[in-house]
Amino acid sequence: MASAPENEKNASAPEKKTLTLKSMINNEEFVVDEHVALQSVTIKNMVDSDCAGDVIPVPTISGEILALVIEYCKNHANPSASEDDLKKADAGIVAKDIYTLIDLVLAANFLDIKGLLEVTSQKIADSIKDLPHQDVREIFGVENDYTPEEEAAVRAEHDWAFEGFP
Amino acid sequence: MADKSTSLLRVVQERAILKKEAEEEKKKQQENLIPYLPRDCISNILVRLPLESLQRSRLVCKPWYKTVNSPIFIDAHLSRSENVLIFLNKLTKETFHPFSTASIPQEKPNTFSIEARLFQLDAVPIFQQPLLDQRSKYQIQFMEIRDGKSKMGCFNATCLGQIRASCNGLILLENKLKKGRLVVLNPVTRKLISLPLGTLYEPHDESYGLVLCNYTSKYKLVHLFRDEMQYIGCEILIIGARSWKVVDGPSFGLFSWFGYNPISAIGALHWVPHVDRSEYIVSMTVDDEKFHKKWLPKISRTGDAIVEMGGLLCFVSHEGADRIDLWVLRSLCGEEWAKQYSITVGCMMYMVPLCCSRISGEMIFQSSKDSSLYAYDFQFEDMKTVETEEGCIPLNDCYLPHVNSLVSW
Repeated sequence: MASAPENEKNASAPEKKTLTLKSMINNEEFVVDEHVALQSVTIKNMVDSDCAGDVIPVPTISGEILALVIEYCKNHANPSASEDDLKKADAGIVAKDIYTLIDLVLAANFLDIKGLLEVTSQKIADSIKDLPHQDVREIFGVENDYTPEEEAAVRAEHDWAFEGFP
Repeated sequence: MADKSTSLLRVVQERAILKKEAEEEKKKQQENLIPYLPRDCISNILVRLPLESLQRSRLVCKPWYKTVNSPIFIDAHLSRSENVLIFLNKLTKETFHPFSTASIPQEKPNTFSIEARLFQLDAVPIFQQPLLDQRSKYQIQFMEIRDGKSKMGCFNATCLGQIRASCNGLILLENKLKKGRLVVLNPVTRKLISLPLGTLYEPHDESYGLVLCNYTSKYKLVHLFRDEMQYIGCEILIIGARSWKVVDGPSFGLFSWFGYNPISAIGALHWVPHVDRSEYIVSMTVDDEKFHKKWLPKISRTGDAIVEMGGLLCFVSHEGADRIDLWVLRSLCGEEWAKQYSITVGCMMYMVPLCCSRISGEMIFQSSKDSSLYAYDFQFEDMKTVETEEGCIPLNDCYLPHVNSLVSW
């Protein structure tokens, strides 16, 4: 039979269950509390169906982005955080350049974290809303597949939205 | 010497080419690093853009255009869009040409004239076009109200007729080119359809309600009219269909006044049927097109009204001079009115409720004395006077609740 102090140790152990997330882009590893990682529906599904090993590989997400995701999950896993605190913390996380935000939105989409997906999408929308469509194309790496005639037609259809835009 | 210098030059040139190649390679790599965003992600970003940016985003590429045009996107966009007030405003002197008799407007080149478009659609030869009095031309405008502040918006569109109804971003306009004809228009997308001729009545003897039938996802235009014998007739047109359908109207004697626009909520259109002292409302369930009489929790006086609030039907009733009660009806089947809220700050007898914002949680009132607007904020329990821009005088002081959307029929 185990002695009393050891029992206490065992009792606190399950609460501190951790998962290791590993970026497959640069092999960076992050050890996070399970309840933090479970905010990701994708990870939760893996854990629930026993598909998760000790190390969960996360493809297509760099260590830098994964760190942001984990920061978000930690903030939102904290039961004592007020709504105002969370808003401020979210704003800090998405105060990044547009390319980082696009990576972040992909990560949030892949890991299925609704709240992060929302704040990041909103921030991207706010960043591109005043840009001419040519700049938007460049940011999203989208090729213009309109012929000049088609482009003119779409423009004419919605000309009132183009006042002051090239 | 010459050899040496040429070989040096060659080395320099080669290096320059190499450097250039390396730079191009790097640039290419950077471009390749821009990840491909799934359509859902793009859609989730675009739906958050303000209307003008959203329209411009169609020009990015064809897949984006398709995304913005898809029914799922249009629905998502509608459910995120805030209520505005739509109204007609007389054209100002600067844009108005007093000696112009042409039917096609000569304002800004971008201005969309409903009548000019209708001419195009009907292909009416020039000599058959009626001479229209350009002085009675109106600009279609809207007002956003947030935190008690107003912001004007303009569709850059003009019309000659009045707005008779509004629903989910579609408006019903009078077509002044042909007597009694009506047009349904989405002022954002500028898509319009000329409706087949219905029964003709004077405006004070009829009422129009535009409503979405959730069951069929079609828009229905409901037309009530009162004949000389005081019988109320009803005809319904599915927008896009070729002819009106006559249905059984409300029972005899239920209506005495058509001045209050119907409100769409809980799957029905609702009318307050008397100018004052209405004890009930008349409702038409949209799916089965049947009329019902629903008792109000209190008699509706002149300053009281029904509005849609978060999808529910809300009866806004003045209780004495300094209190306004909000009663809510969740369904027409077996439910009763429940008192939901009392406004006790800044109430005045002449405040008539216009609409309830969908997202920000404000109720907008209009003064029946001087037409000024008030906004009540439910969160901060505060009534504010809405400051409006100078020179903005809506036709007949009439504002209609509206939402800027991309919906079509």
